[in-house]
Amino acid sequence: MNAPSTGPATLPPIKRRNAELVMLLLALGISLGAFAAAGLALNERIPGGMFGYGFTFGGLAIGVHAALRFIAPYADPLILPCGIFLNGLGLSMVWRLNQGEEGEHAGVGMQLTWAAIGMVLCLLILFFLKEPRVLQRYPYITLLLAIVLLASPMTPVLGQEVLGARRWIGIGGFTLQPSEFAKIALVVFLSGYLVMKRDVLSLASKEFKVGPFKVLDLPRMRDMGPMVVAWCIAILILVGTKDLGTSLLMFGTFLAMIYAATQRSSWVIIGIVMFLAGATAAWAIFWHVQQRVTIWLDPFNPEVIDAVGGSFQLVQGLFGLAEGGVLGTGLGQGQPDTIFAADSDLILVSFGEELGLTGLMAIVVVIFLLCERGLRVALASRELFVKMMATGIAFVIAFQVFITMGGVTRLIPLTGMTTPFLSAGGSSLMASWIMLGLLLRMSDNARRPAPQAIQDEGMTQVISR
Amino acid sequence: MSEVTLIFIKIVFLSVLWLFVLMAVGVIRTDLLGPSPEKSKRAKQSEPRRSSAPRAPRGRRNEPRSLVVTKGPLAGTSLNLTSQPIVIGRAKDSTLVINDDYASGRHARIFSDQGKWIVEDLGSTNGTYLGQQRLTNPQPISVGQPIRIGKTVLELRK
Amino acid sequence: MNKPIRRLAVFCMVLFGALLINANYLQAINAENLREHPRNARQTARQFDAARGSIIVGNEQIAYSEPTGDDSAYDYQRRYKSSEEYAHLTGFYSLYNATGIESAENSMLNGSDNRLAVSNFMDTITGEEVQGASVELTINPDAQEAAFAGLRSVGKNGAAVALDPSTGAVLASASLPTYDANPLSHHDPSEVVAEYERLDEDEDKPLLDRALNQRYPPGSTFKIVTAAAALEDGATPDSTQPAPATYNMPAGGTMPNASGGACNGGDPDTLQHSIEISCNTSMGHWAVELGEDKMAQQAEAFGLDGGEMQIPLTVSESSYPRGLDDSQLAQTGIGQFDVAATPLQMAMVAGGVANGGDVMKPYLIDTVQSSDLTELETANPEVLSQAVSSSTASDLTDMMVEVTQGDEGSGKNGAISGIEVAGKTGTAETGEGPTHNWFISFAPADDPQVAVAVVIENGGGSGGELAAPVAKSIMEAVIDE
Repeated sequence: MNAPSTGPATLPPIKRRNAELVMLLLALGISLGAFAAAGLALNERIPGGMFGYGFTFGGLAIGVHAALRFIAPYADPLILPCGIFLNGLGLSMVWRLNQGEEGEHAGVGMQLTWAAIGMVLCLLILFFLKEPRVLQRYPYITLLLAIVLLASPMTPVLGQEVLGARRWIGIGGFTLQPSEFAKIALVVFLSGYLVMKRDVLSLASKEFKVGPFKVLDLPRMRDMGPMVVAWCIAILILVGTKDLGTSLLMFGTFLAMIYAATQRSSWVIIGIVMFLAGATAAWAIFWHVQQRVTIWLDPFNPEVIDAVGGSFQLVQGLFGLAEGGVLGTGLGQGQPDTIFAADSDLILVSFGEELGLTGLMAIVVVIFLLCERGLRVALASRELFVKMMATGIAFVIAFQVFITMGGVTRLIPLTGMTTPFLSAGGSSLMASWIMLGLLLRMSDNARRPAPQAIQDEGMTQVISR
Repeated sequence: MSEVTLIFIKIVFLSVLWLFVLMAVGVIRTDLLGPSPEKSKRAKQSEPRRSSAPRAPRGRRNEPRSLVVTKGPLAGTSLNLTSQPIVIGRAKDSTLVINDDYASGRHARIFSDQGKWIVEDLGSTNGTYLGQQRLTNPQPISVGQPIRIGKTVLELRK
Repeated sequence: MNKPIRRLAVFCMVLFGALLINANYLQAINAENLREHPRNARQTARQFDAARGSIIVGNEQIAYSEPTGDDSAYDYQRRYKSSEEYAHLTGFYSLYNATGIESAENSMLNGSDNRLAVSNFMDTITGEEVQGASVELTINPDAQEAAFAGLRSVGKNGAAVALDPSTGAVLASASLPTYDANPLSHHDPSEVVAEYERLDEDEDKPLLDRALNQRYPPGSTFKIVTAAAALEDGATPDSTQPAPATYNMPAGGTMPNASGGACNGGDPDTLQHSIEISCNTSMGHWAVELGEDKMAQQAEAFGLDGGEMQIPLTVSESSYPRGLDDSQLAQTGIGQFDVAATPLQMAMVAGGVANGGDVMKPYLIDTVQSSDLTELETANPEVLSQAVSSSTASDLTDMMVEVTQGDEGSGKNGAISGIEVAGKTGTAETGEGPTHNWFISFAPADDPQVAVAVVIENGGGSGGELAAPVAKSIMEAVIDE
């Protein structure tokens, strides 16, 4: 669409920072409200540290908002409030779940620190990464980074196995979950790589027909390289770290991005077939994969419940959700704290129990809106690399939530994985804020009106295919 | 804390959660439709929807039929335009193979996007020029506008 | 590139849609089932914080929730009074599961039943604590006490059931050995588990409710069913069958009489006399003459092979075998071979005869009352089946009275002075171990108020000797009221 043809070039640009501020304040109010409600129900009083936390968290959030006014004034007005909404609710839930153990503020202080570090990282990205396309320059270094991060839990010294999955590395007393960062590196790499290779990857060698109907355009055999590599990495993660969730997330993201780049559904179908074949083989060979499937299909079998590493956690989670029902038990009035990993992998269950279906749906819808805004950024961006990166980030968030929530609600097999923004855990929260920072930066660039000089030459045309 | 109070708090809290959702949807709606007609045009700019009515006739009026090489070794060659993208370069599987030392293997691509023709440089070494301007982004091209790749110049014809 | 991005957006919408639909299924549609899942300790545990309704017998609460002190893990402790005598009925309400009435009437006791919704809502509004409904049992405390005292005096495992023949109300239901439900409802999980494991591993199976869930060969008490089939088939109390000392059965094998001698000096014996002295050989002949179909039909008419019953405690199905050869058929005529009946079933046989041929559906719950004393449920007696015609019932009654009053009666220990008692003894071979000893009866014969079945497990004596006195004391307890 040509700007001069639709109206005078002097139209006031839409910044919508005030809408953002209103939404932000509402989100902060909700976070504090959650604290207060949980405190009232648990201890019959407003939690003592609430205002301290409120000031820290709110101050940081408003700080990010203020910075946006100067350095990214055209950024999407919903992305930040959605992030704060989720992060704030997560903080309150982590606080509430750690009540009654080791003092009143165990756990939440750390989580607040991670949130602060995350928001600072987000700000740094906004400040220093004026043009996201610079990330395009070194795709293979990014790939190496992603692979190193993914492989690190498999190394003998750094890697730590917790409850059958090697998802962590330990550095100086802290544990990190490198796969959380690896997924960002992977998205950045794929964006650069696929933009370079999309023409080759879009070439079709032959059509696959059923009768007179074209079903698929099959890609050329010699272009299968990247797909095979991605598949191998996914299977290696599955086997090496026993982490089905990360494997699924990485491979799903790869498929989504190759589809976005080439618009060829054949890639997706080939990928799904290969992944299913690999997963079936893993199922046949590895006991822990078999157990995951058994837990998924037959969780209420008493033997499966009582087995070591059996479905006890999943079933407890389902009971928790049922306990919550439509309106929930109310914050602080349920017993989500009796479930293992209630504040990390199963945090959505905790919300489902205490806020009920009504609250859980609101949270899921907010996450969806965040992803939808991410995809809007992709649609509105002019550069292919940025389009790919925004698509990738939005999809990673959406798919990760699908894997975690689908797992705890028994839609798909349960695998240990954090929920972005909500779960306790530094790696997850920092990675979430980095992704948010990238989205904000990209949306600012996408929505910013192009400079006049270029506009005359028709540069503001939005290319869409 | 009495039961009634706690239930009251719960209901209020859930309502506020949904208020947030509804307001967020409201913000998106304003973003899409705009609060006023003036702004709405502006908003549409960031929401690329290709089906807006006023452009269609213009597209038809200027509909190019072929891609013609006007200068260079292949001068005079003409390619009929279809919906398939045209890849130009030295590589054998390109749609238009040009033997030009200044051209890259996969140099540029010309494709149609809902009635508009767009040229995109595929990361060539020596660049693709639209007029005097070296391409950095995909650009729409109109009939008669010269596209230069190495020594080859192409243009769209009706 | 926008088209695939739009498609991805649609795909994401599908993913989230699936999540939301699934959440709706779990939290709204299927939530009730999950909440009441037996493994849902959360539900049980939560209810230890609520005032659960009582279980009442007579005018006494035999199961009730008592507020605990502040240092307890939960707000209420479930307590059971005279628990050993009522444990099999009340069941227990532990952190892990619930049994008996505690389980069967859980939604009433915990107040989650829809019929309590209004009262709960009003309680919430007025700031009062929500209370569950109380459940009043049909049990007659005197009869229950008499049943336990009687069984204990025998000193063996066994069971006794008393019914009101005209309604089906269960007046007593006792099973030995029994247990105390209090330790099982303790708040300390390790104590609960230890106690449960101890009971569960006990060879005498104290957790088993023998009255409702243990099936025994009914032995000679089943001759009432055989006699009923014969009378319904047109025979009279004076009809005869051969009654030798030993019956050489048609398909091989022999059936001796318990006394060792012939029943009527070697002559064919009347039905009347065969029941009075509990003659095996003549009743074996009766069964063969009637055939498997008529025998099975009569057994079904009394409630055998009718599937599990919920009264609302689950009652195991009693059964009459099929596909018999004539020797096996003859044995079923005296309640042997694969005939298996619960004590409650045999009480229903006695009750059916007592009630003019109509077997009433047994039930345990008299009324259910909400905390504001509104009656939510009241028992509604139902006829389960018409087992025999009223004339057959009256003939059977006459025969059974002879068992306790006749000169040669096998159940004289069941007689009560001044009251006509109709009864039937039984001594069932068990294949291994001592015999089971039965007595089924009802009284008064002309206006039955109570029907009883007593079984002494591996008593090794005779029904008249071991079981009849227990039945007598139960009947006296009911009639004395």
